Amino acid sequence: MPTVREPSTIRILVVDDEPDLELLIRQRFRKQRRTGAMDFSFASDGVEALEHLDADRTIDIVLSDINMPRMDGLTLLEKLHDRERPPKVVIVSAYGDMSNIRTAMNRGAFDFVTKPIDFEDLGVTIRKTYEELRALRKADQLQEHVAAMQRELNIASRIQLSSLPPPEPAFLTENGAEQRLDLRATLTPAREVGGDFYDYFLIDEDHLGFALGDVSGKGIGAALFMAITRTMLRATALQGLPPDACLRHVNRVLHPESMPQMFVTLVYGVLDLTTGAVTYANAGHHPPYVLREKADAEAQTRGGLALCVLGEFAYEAATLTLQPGDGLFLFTDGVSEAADGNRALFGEERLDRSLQQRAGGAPAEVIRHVLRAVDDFTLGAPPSDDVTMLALRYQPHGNP
Amino acid sequence: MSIKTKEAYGAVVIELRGKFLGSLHGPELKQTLDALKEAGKTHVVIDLANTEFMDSSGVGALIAGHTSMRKVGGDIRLANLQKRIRNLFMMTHLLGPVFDSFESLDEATQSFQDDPPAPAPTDAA
Repeated sequence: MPTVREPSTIRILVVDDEPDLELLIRQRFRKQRRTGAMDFSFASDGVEALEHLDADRTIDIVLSDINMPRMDGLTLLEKLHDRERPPKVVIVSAYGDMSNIRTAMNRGAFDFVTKPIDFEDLGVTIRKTYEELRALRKADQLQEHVAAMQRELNIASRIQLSSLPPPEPAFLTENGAEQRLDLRATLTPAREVGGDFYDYFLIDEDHLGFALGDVSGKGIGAALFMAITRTMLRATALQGLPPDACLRHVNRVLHPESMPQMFVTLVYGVLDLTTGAVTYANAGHHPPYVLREKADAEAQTRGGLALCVLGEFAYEAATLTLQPGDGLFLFTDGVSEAADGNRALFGEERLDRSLQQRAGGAPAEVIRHVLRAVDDFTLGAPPSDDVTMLALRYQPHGNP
Repeated sequence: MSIKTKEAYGAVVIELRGKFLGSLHGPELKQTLDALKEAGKTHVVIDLANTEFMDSSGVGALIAGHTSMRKVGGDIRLANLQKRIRNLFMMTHLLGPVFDSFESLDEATQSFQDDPPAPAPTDAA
């Protein structure tokens, strides 16, 4: 947290065209000046005051008369109002001059004292004004601190999103795999950073690894653990371990590293691009949907324990075969539990329905359709969780 | 959200009433469980009959509590899971490998008599 410098000298600029006020102040505040509690400087009108303030940015309080040559106190107030972090202004007015006092207050004066000046009262007023100024400066510093943190978070957010592979694979166009596969993914964090992730990669030229997961909780803790999990999963998967062994290994390595209240649900699968055979394992995540061109979307059976709950868990592999034109759809609960303004949930039935309407569609179209259905349901209510999807379609004979 | 504790047949029942959000209410549950552990009361039933909603970090708070109770030879068992929360625990596969769950408070508290938790595991896992 930022700290506010203290204790410090209160620095006051007195603006008056009558030289006797300067003399009086020097006398009456002799003690405060000697101890360093207050420091006074003097200007004889608004113009000189502005010049002084330009040259000395440390002035805390301006004590200004109203009637002065060249520039009067009310004009000075107006000019100060346009400045960044202006000093607080205390106006000195004739006794009972309500109309000028009102004008001064409306133009941003903090307080006023009347002539003849009661110096004890002026001392109290100066201190009170300074306290207000300090509170404001402290709030300013906090605001700056918050803004700095926000900038850091925005950087973290960009790094996190750019660490995921792009929503539309580039590698597919490099080696001819695009002839056999169409894939799209989307991730929209509810806050700057989140615990959802997706991943896909070629294990070799005929095998595509794909994953989608969700770290419990939200915010920076979840985001950091998500990065660790994704890296660990990818590193393990690229060694060619089958999905069940892969999850078992990742769980074994991650469990000791995780906080007790943290867990990860994810699906990891491998698609054989030559046969359409899919092997996948599920650690406590929503089962993937199979999108059949000639059948309805169907949810697959459930899998094993979420990662990082127990140090040892034997996952089972499930297999299925995609016919040409069939696809898979994976999602996090930011989709199924998207809430409308009345806290009603989108729900898996609505998700079923929108997937069935697009079962044979291209991945980009499937995702767009679900996003639209969620949006139609929530009607713009702010999402409480990250929204993540991955859709792929097996097309061994190229684009239909 | 309220967290209420009562004792019943040699077990402690903690009722989670309302929306249980890990980031908000997890620390209170942890405090409650730590105090029980301190007092040697490690047979704990979580009553979820009136839990409207639980988020993933809420589940995480229960997992953490379970881990810490198991370390001292106790256990946390669940009672009265409603459909949505049951689905959440089923999907994450936590019922069975981690949590035992019961249809009623009586069955859950009785289970500590009939099937007391295994002694604390000797390794850290």
